[in-house]
Amino acid sequence: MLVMEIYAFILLSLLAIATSIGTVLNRSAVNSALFMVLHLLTLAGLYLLLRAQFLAIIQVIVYAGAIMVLFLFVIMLLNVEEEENIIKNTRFGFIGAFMVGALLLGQVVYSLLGLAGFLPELSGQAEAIGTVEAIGDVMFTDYLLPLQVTAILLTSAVVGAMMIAEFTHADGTPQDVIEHAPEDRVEEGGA
Amino acid sequence: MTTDLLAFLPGLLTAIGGLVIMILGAFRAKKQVVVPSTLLFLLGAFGVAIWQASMPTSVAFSDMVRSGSFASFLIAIIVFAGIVTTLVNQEVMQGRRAHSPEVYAMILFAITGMITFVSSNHLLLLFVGLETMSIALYVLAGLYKNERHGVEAGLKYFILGAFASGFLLYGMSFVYGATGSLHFQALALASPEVTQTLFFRAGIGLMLVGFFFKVSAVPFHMWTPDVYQGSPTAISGFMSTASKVAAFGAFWVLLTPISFSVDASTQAGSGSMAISALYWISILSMVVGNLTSIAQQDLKRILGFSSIGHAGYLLMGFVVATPQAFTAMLFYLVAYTLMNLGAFAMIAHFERTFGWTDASMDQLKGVGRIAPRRVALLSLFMLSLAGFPPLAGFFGKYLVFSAAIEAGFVTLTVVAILSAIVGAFVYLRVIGQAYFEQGESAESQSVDPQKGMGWGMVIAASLLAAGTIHFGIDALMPWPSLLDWVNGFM
Amino acid sequence: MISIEWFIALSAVLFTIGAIGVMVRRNAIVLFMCIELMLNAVNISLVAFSSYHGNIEGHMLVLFALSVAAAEAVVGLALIIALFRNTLSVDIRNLTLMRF
Repeated sequence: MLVMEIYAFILLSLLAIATSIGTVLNRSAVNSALFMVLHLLTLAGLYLLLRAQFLAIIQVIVYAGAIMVLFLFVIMLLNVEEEENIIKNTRFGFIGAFMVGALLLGQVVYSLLGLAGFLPELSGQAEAIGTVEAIGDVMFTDYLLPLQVTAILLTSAVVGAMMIAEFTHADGTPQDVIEHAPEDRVEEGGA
Repeated sequence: MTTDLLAFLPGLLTAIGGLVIMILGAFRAKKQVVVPSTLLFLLGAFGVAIWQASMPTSVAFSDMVRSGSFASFLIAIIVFAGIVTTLVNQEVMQGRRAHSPEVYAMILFAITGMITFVSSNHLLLLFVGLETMSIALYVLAGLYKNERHGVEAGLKYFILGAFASGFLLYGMSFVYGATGSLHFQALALASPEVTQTLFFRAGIGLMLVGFFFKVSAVPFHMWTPDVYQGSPTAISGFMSTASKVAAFGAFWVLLTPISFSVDASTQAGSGSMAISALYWISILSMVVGNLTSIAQQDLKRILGFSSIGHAGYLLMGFVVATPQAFTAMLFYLVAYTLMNLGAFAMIAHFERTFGWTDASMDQLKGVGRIAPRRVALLSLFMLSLAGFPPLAGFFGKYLVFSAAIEAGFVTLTVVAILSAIVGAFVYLRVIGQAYFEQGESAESQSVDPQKGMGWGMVIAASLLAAGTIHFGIDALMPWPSLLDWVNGFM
Repeated sequence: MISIEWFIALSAVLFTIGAIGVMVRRNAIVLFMCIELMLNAVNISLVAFSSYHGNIEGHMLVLFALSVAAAEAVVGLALIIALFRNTLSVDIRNLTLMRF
């Protein structure tokens, strides 16, 4: 059982790293988004290894299912097909970013090294707290206020997104979508 | 339950207010209905916050949120900034296409987020409140969505803000891993073995990155001038004051117990990494903010850089971290809110009245002749920002600097005073531009000089001007002053 | 049992990859996906700490971070659509109107 867990962890973590690199380096936005979906699914697997069953399900339904569909929808809507050669175009930026990233990683790993024997072993209660019952139990008692504030957050996000993304003329009247389509864009699509 | 709700009443009022405004918007309510109802909710919240500020600190919602004493005091400042923004906004945005009831709903939601943020007692609630504030502000920053400036402001703010909140969350996860709890008290009471670990300190460092971004301290300041320039001017004033009050208040509660505990265990004051990082970032913010503002030609950018410098002065309070520094910081937050809101409000008014296309310095040429009284108001706020006595800005700086000197931070204070002198030059240049330069642009425009300020501007500007003057001198007055009240919180 | 250090190290690697992505990519949508990568990396370490401490707070923070990420996605994509309508591209090199 333990060996199986270790194998699963190695497989899933390698897959997670590979798919995240795929998301970052892929030249097509659609491919990036699809790598991201795969990445989120492997993370759900890792959550299961950590006995967080409810979060694993939520990860699949909300993240992979809803948020990434929104991303893909916008990519399709805008018909973005800008291929960019990341390595070539931004060599300087790439090196800088890599240095910053290496620094960050080094710092985290270094601080982790000083921690040997300090962090706990997997708690016996891990299975008990990952269930829907346990989360629902505290969600509507101890975490009532954050829940309500999150409701306000989601409301304002939806209303705000409508304010920003709505088609309007300069004077604020709603605009027809077809009338809006700029000429050069239409040509581009046809070509 | 009722006591819990009462403790969070200001936030509750603004949240309900936002929802009511949205419903009014669905029924195509006129501005004459929307603005007064917004103000009604905000005034209610303000009154409750002032009332609660005279009570001792208490916790509610199973230790999630604090109310009373200085948490409520900061809420009152935030709500006051909201009131002024609403008053100014309804006037300067008239006729602008961005004007709709949803704008006021977003302002109210942003205030709800700030109230949650500043009164949170748990890292989870802090994160949720911060994000509620941020998301509403991303939308407000991008309100001029048909102009490239507006979209640029919104998107820059959004991308960098989301990036920074990733760091904040990562820091929280480290702190949680080291201590096993997200409660502020649990962090403050963590044993020295825990707080000594590099892991815990890395967590605090990562959280500081998120905090520095929100208050636009120097290595994380690059978004500030761009966002202030591209956003609607009244909203820029709101962002530069209310969101910083919230961030400073929340992080004071979170950080000072931790840095105190680190200090106590290592004896030497320099033992705390967080404090030495804060020390350098405070110096950098003051120097960079004030020096770069010299080269700027846009009034809103100047105020953006000046807000970076002011963040440096406020961070001095964190470095010093004595009770005097705490009261000085609270006082400085009040003064900064008043004068910065005032400067942005006057620029917004000039933009609207004189039909400025941008807020560059050249536009201000000769305006002093056309509208001397209004330019006098602008000059008042600018002088206060520069730190001239007897205005609130001067007294705030005096309090912060004397607290720093008392605690032995002489170098820091010298740097602060020098950078304040450099900064004063910039503000004086703005005033000089308005009064002494010959105006080609302003006088040739067919501007009706009689077209003055509307009721909203009059109320807002006179409140702010009265506050700026009053808080500069009220410590000398016989009646109980703001400072006495603030001292009572410690 | 897998030692918790492995999970934290994995989360650090993923967070770094996401952060590098934010600095390297120029396409606003992909850049935003990299920010989501960072948030997800944080979630792994939070869930790991939560399970190993046997304390539910980490799980709750992940749950709330998830809903915040959803809200951020909505607003961010709306802003990207607004950018596209102004510049007909989602390249953030277009965000250079305001400079020193």
